[in-house]
Amino acid sequence: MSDLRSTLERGVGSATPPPDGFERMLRRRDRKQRNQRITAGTVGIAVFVAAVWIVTTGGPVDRALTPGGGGTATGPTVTEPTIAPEAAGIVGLPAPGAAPSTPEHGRLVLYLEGNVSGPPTALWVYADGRLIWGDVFGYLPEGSPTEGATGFVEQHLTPAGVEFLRTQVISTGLFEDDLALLRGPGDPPFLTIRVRNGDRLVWLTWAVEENYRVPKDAPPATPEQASTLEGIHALLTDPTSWPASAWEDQDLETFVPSRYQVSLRDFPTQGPGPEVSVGARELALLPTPAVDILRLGTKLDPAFYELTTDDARALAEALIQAGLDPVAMPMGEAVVRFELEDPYEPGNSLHVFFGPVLPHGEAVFLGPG
Amino acid sequence: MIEPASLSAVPEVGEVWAFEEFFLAEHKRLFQALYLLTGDRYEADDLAQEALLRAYERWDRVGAMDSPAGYVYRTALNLHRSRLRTLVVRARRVFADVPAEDLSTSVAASHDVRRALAQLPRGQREALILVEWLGLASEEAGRVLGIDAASVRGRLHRGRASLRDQLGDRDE
Repeated sequence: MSDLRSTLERGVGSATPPPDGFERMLRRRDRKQRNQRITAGTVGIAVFVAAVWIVTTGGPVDRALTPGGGGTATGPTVTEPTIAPEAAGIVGLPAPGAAPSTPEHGRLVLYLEGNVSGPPTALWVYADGRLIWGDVFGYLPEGSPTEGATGFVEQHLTPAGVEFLRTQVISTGLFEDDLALLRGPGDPPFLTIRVRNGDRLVWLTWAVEENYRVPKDAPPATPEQASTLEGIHALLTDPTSWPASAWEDQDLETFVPSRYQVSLRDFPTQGPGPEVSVGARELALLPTPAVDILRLGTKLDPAFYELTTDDARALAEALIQAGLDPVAMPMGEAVVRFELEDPYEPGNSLHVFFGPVLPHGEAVFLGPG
Repeated sequence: MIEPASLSAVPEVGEVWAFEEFFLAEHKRLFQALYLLTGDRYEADDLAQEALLRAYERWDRVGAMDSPAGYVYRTALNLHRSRLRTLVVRARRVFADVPAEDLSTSVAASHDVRRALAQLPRGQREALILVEWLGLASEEAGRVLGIDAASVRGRLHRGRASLRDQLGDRDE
């Protein structure tokens, strides 16, 4: 092709945006503001009704007063914010009422993240047969459900299928001990594999130097190691190459986590800069209902909380009710995120990340750093 | 505690004019980029409108960024991905005055290009459009896509090769 630009110009053809773009945008803003006012009014009425009900009946004063807390007094009116249609369901959080994947806890047998070529992949295999694919990089298997998507889907392997994958990886001989290998500049950034060998998970990371996942003095992969890793990647990312006996159920279902972890981080809105520790002052930047919901969860540290999925959804809704928009992640959309300016640190924002907790107890977060 | 509502405060009067300038400079280019990305001019218009509105609502902050256009591109791409994910991509034929499809033969070629683009993996399509249509450097496109410049170049290389294969001799 001599000139890709002219090819694209041909693709655009005579298409131009409809006229009066700026005026239409202003009308769109007016509609949005009107909807927000209507919602705020509806919420105010509902909260008032709830308050009256509590006063007159002596009803519960704990969870029923928090958005999404499950109280019948507030009802669905309170917990359904006006969200632009494209954000319906809040990307990254399961649909209300979706049943969590069972069992809640699982023993991790195999994990792969990254790529050799082709789209990067993230997958987890558990001893109970669950195979979970994560939209960590914006890719999920073809045919993945999108309704109520969490960014993760699951399939089910037989015990023989789990063992097949594990032994295929172990038999390469690369997983006797933890290993860090360097990739060449210009290669895809990294490939990480963890596999259960005996009682422990052995990990191997193959990454470019600037990726900081491997020390600078790590050895480069030999051609044989590189070829072996390419083979493992090809096998694990191509389920069509697995034996039929590996499958218990090949249907792709949305993986619904039982819990989410919420991480609060304060760093520059744009560009590099120091990260600020999050404490009570930063926490107070959040709207009060959001802080109340966070306190329902387990405080892992001052900036880290674990919540039930229902409470995580209520938290997201409380942030939206306060006028914040969920920010889709640039790499995939497996994790919903909010950001709000930090007036104490000009140029910084307080970022609220939601990370689903996978069956082995690890939450998957995306984002800078 | 700050009032969260102030995060999306309407710009001051002076800022409105600055934003309108920005809007006029970027709107058509953004619309056409999204048309190449989605293959649907209604969807492209809706995405462009929403992305520019989000910039307008935060213009006090976005206008001070090194690349306000980069913010808008990133927002538009994220909106597009969200819509794909939540299956709410739908034609919104709300504008009676949208120009009708050109039925001349030159449109067949235009359709071929968009069909070839649609065959590309999303990541390659996004990289091609950001770099080749919007003129971003690999580094800046990487910031929009959340990947490094080398990965952008990789996607470009593969995307160009796929387009060449699909469009064949017509572009040689």
